[in-house]
Amino acid sequence: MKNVTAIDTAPHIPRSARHRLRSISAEASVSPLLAALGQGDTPLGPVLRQVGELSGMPSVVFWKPDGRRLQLAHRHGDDLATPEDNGMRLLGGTDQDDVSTQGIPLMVPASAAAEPHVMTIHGSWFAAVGTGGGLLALGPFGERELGRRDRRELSALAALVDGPVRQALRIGELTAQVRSLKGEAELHRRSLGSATDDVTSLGLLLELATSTSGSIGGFVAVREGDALRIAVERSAPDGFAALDLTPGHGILSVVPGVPGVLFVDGYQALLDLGIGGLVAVGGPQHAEQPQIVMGLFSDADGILEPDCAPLLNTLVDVAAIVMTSAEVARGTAARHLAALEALCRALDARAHATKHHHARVAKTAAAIAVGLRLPAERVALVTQAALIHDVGLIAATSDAAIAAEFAHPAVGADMAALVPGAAELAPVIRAHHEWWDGYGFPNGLLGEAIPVEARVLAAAEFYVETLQADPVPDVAVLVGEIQSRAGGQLDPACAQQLIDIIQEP
Amino acid sequence: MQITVSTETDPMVTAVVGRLDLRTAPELRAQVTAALAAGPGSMIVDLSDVEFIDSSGLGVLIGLHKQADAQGGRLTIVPPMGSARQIFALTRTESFFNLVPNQHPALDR
Repeated sequence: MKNVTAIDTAPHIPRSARHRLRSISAEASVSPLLAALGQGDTPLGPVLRQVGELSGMPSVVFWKPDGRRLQLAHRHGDDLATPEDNGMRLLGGTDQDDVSTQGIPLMVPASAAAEPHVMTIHGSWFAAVGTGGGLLALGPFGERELGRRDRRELSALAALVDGPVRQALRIGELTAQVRSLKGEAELHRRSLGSATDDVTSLGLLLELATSTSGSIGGFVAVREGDALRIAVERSAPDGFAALDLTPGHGILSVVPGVPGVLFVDGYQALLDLGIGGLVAVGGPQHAEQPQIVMGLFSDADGILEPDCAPLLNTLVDVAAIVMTSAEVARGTAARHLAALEALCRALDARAHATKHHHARVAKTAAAIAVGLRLPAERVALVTQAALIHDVGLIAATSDAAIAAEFAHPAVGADMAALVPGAAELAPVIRAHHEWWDGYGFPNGLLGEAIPVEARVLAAAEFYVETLQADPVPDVAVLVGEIQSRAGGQLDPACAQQLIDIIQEP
Repeated sequence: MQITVSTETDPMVTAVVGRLDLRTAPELRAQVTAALAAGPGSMIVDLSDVEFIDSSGLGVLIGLHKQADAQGGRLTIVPPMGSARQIFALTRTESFFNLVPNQHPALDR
């Protein structure tokens, strides 16, 4: 060994050192665990810092095995001039000095030849700690010679440090397990909370992926026919949402002969957006074509963690389950709504004047909503609510007609609330007899406290009921009637849209 | 990322050190493509010192694999040793690529 010294466990341990190491052990056992759970740090750091202080060595490095090589786990010391993080290897090389005397045979990198007097405490004792074994090295990693006394003290330290390092490694493993369990629990909690809302669920999964991987952002794309459409994105650069992720369209391609697997082949478009790294995983596993693609990216200066690919691999399957659940829920909701619509058609058919009432209100309400430039999903909500808005009248009896009239919005809303995945319908139905000026029922809501969809529905129903009473009205009279109710019964904006529709040539 | 291309051997050998992602993948593609075009057509890409491969890195390897095939040659990959190796398993491309544990058996073929 020309430039490395291996220290074996020594039988003699100075009493003072034993006492100090006990305090390290106590700290490693309790306080770092609590700190690590809160802050995400490994407790190895404090232990190694104290090992450095005890030994008088300015530099302390700890490596953990990763396959055949050692990965830097922690370093401490200002004058650290160590081999590179991945420079240390366990067995397998031929140009390196074997410094092992017991336990794990350890190799020192060729680069250490330029670093005389690397002082190594190697420990077979660390190897027993599950996968948390490793190599502790103390410097200086420079020109300083180590005397016999230094060696003797380090020899004693090698035995003493065993317990604290074992504890620190074990605590680190436990902390990782706790984090993993917390992540899984959070995933289950969030998935349950939005089992029928696929966009929300995919967003939550993506949030989980980005937060646990440390990525700056990501996306979820879902298959629509032959195309992949970006359904959700987080912190994507401007222009990302416009990218066509359909395989073969410039960004992603499929691997020949490996169904369902995608890779990036359009580097420039992504680099132009400032993206420096991208991992995309398709799912569900074993699908012929990816139904969902989840991706994480880093910016031009950042790096992606190596574990983001397995993380995505898990989450993309969860996303596929979410999509399937949401589709099943949508099917169930559609059947429930179809039943309520059939009840409403039956109500309408009781009298000639009310024939097709719900369908006509729905048509008018949709036109007003479009005129107000509501987003497509709000127009769809108005239309669906209109198709069942009076379903509560099913509770009406001939001897309690007035009571039924006042109760029907609430009764109808309660029926709509039972439709899975259609929670937004109930408030619209409940408020469709509220007045803009607060004199409506059942809750006397005022102005914009009334959902806009309900205000649209109220205007549409007023128009349809007016025509039911007078199928061929004078347009000027009708417009005057609507104007007189704008700001009172009707939302002025909805009233104006209705007038615009009536006056259309 | 460091790329070392040795064209003296048959097959040629490219050793990569560092991260293979969007920023570095185009450079690997350029160097290996040029070597494959000028050389005997077979190449070992040694990724044993690669820490991380993203989807664009995978894309480069697939492109080079196809290029070598088209030239009647063979692309052989020595995969990373750590967690970066998982990309091959996760994308089920382990059987698509010619993976070998180290350079030496590849050279013996």
